[in-house]
Order: sequence, then C-alpha cells, then structure tokens
Amino acid sequence: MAFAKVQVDMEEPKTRQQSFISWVKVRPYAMIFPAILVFALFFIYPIGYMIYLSFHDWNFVSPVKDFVGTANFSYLLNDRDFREVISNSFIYTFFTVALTIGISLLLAIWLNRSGKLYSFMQASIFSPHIISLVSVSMLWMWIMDGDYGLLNWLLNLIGIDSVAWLTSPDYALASLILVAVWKGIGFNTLVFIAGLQSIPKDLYEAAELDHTPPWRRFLKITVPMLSPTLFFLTIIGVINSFQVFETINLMTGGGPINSTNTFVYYIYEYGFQFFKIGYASAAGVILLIILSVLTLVYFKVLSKRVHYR
Amino acid sequence: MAEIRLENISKTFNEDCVVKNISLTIKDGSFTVLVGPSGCGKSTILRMLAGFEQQTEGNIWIDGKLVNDLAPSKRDIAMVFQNYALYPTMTVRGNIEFGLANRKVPKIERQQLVDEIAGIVGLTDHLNKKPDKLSGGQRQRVALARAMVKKPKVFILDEPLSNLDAKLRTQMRTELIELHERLGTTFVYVTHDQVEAMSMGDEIIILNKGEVQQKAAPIEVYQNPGNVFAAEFIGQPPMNVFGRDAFESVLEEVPEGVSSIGFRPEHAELALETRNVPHMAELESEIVTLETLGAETVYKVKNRIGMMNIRSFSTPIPSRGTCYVSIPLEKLHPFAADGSAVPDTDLSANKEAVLHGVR
Repeated sequence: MAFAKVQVDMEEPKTRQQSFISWVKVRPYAMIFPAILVFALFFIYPIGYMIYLSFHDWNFVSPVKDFVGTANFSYLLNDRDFREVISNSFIYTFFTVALTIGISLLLAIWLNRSGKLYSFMQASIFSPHIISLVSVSMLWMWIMDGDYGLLNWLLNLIGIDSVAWLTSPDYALASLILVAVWKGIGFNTLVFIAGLQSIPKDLYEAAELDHTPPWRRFLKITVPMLSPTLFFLTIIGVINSFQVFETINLMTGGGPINSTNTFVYYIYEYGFQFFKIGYASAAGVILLIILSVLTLVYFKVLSKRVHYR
Repeated sequence: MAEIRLENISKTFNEDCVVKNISLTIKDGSFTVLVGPSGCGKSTILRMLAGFEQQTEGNIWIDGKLVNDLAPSKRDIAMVFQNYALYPTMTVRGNIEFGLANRKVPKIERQQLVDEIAGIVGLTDHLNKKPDKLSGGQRQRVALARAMVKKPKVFILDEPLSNLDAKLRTQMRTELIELHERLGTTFVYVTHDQVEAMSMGDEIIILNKGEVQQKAAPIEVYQNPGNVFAAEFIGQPPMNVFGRDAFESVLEEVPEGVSSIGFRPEHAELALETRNVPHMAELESEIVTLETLGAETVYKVKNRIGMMNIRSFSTPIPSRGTCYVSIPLEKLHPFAADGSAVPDTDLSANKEAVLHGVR
C-alpha cells in the first residue's frame, strides 16, 4: 500500500483527479483478483468449511447439520484407534523420510559421475517415480503375497521361513514403509544428484589441500552445501508421508487390526464409508494443525541451519 | 621455501595437447608469474603443480623432491583459488583453521595462529562472520589467510585478483607484493593480465598454446622481447609489428633473415611538423583516433607502413589531421620468420639511409 502511495506522489503531483489516485490504489488488488478468487474457492473455502463441519454432526445427506461443539474432538482424542492412527502416521513418516533420504543420499554420491553405467543406473532408480501409485501397490501386493509372492519365494530359496508381509500386524506397516521408500528413492536421488553437482569443485580441492579426511569432507562440506536440498526433500517427504493413502487403501485397508491405519485413510473411512462427516472433518483439522506446526518448526528451526548461496 | 622444477612436462586432454614439453625452473623464494591468453595452459600447469591434474609426461620436483605421485595435500603447497573457494558454511575463523583442525593442531595453538594471521591480513574484526557477509577484498584476504596459516613451501595463486574491481585490484597487488617480501616463500602466480604480471613478478613466464614464449624478469621482457608473441602480449597498447615489406619502403637496407620489425608505441614521437631528426624514420601520418588518458595520450595513426599506435606523454594534439611520426631506429626490434627476436641486428646502421616518409 505504502509502495502504491509513493508511486502516486511521484507520478501525480496533485494536478489530476482524485479518482485516478484511488484506481492506482485499487489496481494491484484488481490485478491479483483472479488468482485470489481461485485460491479462495479451492483452498480457503474448503478449509473453512472443514473447520465448520468439524463442530457439527452430519451424515452427508441429511439437510440438518447438528452443532455439537467440540464433541467430535473430545471423542477423537479419547479414541484408542485414533491415537494408534497418530502413532502409525508418525512412525510411517519418520522411517519413510529417514530411510528415503539416507539411501538416496548414498546412492546420489555413488551415482554422481559421468558414464553410461551411471546414467543407466540413474534412469533405473528413477523409474518407480513415474509409475502410478496404484500400479505400484498392485505390483508390491504380488511381490509381498504370503503364499506365492516373489519375496517369500526368495526367502525360501535361502532357507528363511515365509513372512506375512501384509497380513501380520507386526510387519504390515514396515512393508508399507518399504514400498514408499522404493517409490521415493528415485526422485530423491535425482534431486540430490542435482544438489551435489551444484557444489563448486574447487571447494573439494581446497579441502584436499586442507588435509580433510573423507568423512569430514562429507560432514563439513557436502552436507552443509546440500542443506537446502535436504531441507526441501525433508519437508516434501514429511508432508507426503503424512498424507499417504493409495498404498494403504489398496494393500492393507488400514489393517490388520488397525496396524497400518494412518491419518488420511482414517479420515476417508469415517467420511466416506461410515458417513460421519463431522468426525472426519475434526480429524482433518487435527491433521492440518499437525502439518502446519511441523512446517512452521522446520522453517523456524531448521532454516537457520540451512545455507543458501 | 622451495625451488620448483618442471622437467619435460606435457599434458594431453583427449588427444588435445594443452601443455607441450615444458621445462622450467622456478627459483626458491621468487615471485613467478605465469601469464598468457586463455587456453595457453597456464592454469593446467598450476593444477599439475598442485596435484589436481596428473601430467601426461614429465617430472615435477618441489624442493628437490619428486612429487609426481604425491597427493596434493602431501606437496606442502597452499593455493588461492580464483573464486576463493571459501567454505561458505564456516565462519572466517573456521575457514582459516579448517586445515589446522584436520591435522589435529591443538586448539590453543590454532587460535594463536589464526589471530596472528588475521592481524597480518586485517581480518581481526571479521573472524566470526560468514564469507557471504564479506566484501570481495575481504574474501580474498580470507583465502590468503587460509593459505598462509599452513606455512607452506609454495604459494600457488590462480588469478586471485580477477574478481575484484579495478581499484581494489591495484591495492591488493601492492599487498601481495608486500606479503611475498614478508614471507619470502616461493609464489607461483597465474594471470592473463599483463599489467599484473609486469608489476608483481620477479620473473615472468609468458605462455602461448602450451609453450613457453619467454621467461625473464619483467624489464627484460619489455626491453628485449624474445619473440613477436611476447612483444605483442606485454605492453599497453602492444608493440607495433609490421612485415619486412612495410619497412623496406622506409629503411634502405633491411638485413637478411629479418621478416618483421616492431617498435613500442611509446618510443615513437609525434609532431605536427616535419622535423627530420637523424637516426629516426619519419612518416607522414594521419591521426585516426586518440584516447586521452590524462598523463598520456594514445593515438592511432595511419601511414605508409600501416595502422599503428603511438603513445605520447606530451600535451594532446587537438586536431585530427596530418602529423609526423618519428621512430628512433635503435628502438626497432627485428624478428625472424619464426617470430623469434634477431638479437644482434642493429637497424640503426641505416642511419645514413633513412628515407623520409614525406611524399
């Protein structure tokens, strides 16, 4: 606003009409109105409506939405299943992100060279990223099948008993993490390779003259120089993992015994299978709060340690 | 301190020979400047010296030790990179002491060394800042301090001033000369800037297309250029060099074996009227352009010989019409067909046979 005012003072030394001045003030808002409209319609309104619904009891079809205050929230927070869902989501997110980033970084360091073999490897590792999640789920359901799956066949070959990958509450979540890591590595590796290539070579030469041992070179130069990439991939990874849905829907349906039920699937179940929209919305609000807090924490705390050139 | 010896060094990149059989000795404690246009191989030589590139052929000796297969860190050298290569995530102190910390120098000793060096290069107030908060000159100093703190036998500087503005560059030039005098260590300095080479080096090595053109003290390079390339590379504006034919119309006798002749722009004199001074070739010329630089004026003039630069320290001539250029015969540099200087040819033997350029 102040900026617009200054412009007015400079361009219009009091001679022109008042109406022009007000147009100059309005102009920027008029310019961004279409974008604001789209944003409001598809982002602000749904979020507002979700918050509104979270204080009501509604079944999707009834014309009446009963106001129930914070009942949905108090019920949610006292629900053992929901607490499991929260813990599942955190476990899933933590291991998925940590493993994906760790493995991708190592792969990126290994593959960050020129040569046909390395290009081929980069392309191969990237390929899961372009397969749709539904196909990935079907593929892994077959691989992880308890009776005739590829994984168990391989395990049996080397004399290990079959594992109930998707049908045991002990393994199901880990199996889903495995699939997510497999799918995520390609993209993460590619981004890491791009990050590695943007590190000036002369830094490593300077480090070499400074007698830097390899592990210290990695910790003191590679990691700090990659920090924007690490930061970006972590945030994207956390947000994506918290919103995992397709693999759970197709592979486990949240089971067995709620062991793979996570936020979005839980919301989906309550909203579109049990038609408890108010309750599902309340869970959605909690997910929104958790993601906002996580993002905020990242930006406040982590970004201080991120080096941008 | 160390003497550096290159013995028949060649470097080939994918069949592209960038350094061709070079043998050089860089004197202990000298400030040696490798100078040449881009692509002349000067940086490659430097990188082979540092150990970042392996020479295709030949031996490198530093302080009497054969270092062919020695890792860069074992060669006891320090390098200042063109883009400084400071660790951006570390403070100035962190940058300077990183090499010491890697060698497990005790913390107290490290602190003393850093403080001492920071005092020398004037960084004491900036030790806790990150490089991105520093100006170009300050970053340059950090890079120098980081090199100095290791107390190396040889300093290698790869175009360290090229990223600084003109004023700062002049200032840093002086500081580097002082630093070299203070440390007494061998400095090997790479630049494409002939002014830097002339002003800083004890010895200049002029390179072109992977070969040494001349290796001598700056004044020697200026006064007795070894070949046409050296003559045209050093000096601003460069030496005027013309073919034998051009001079045959001016000199009565051009000795056998001389295929081109040059003279420095500042050795010719420019006057508005014909003067007919003995031992000078006088040419009627036309001023094409003039650059007034304050203390001096650079004229571009056209005459029978061709287009030439004349550098004059007298008051600029305002008009652009006809003038007379006199070239002292003893300042003429004859070159042979292969471009090398023909040393014992005295063209001033022509003194009685000067044709006045006036036509």
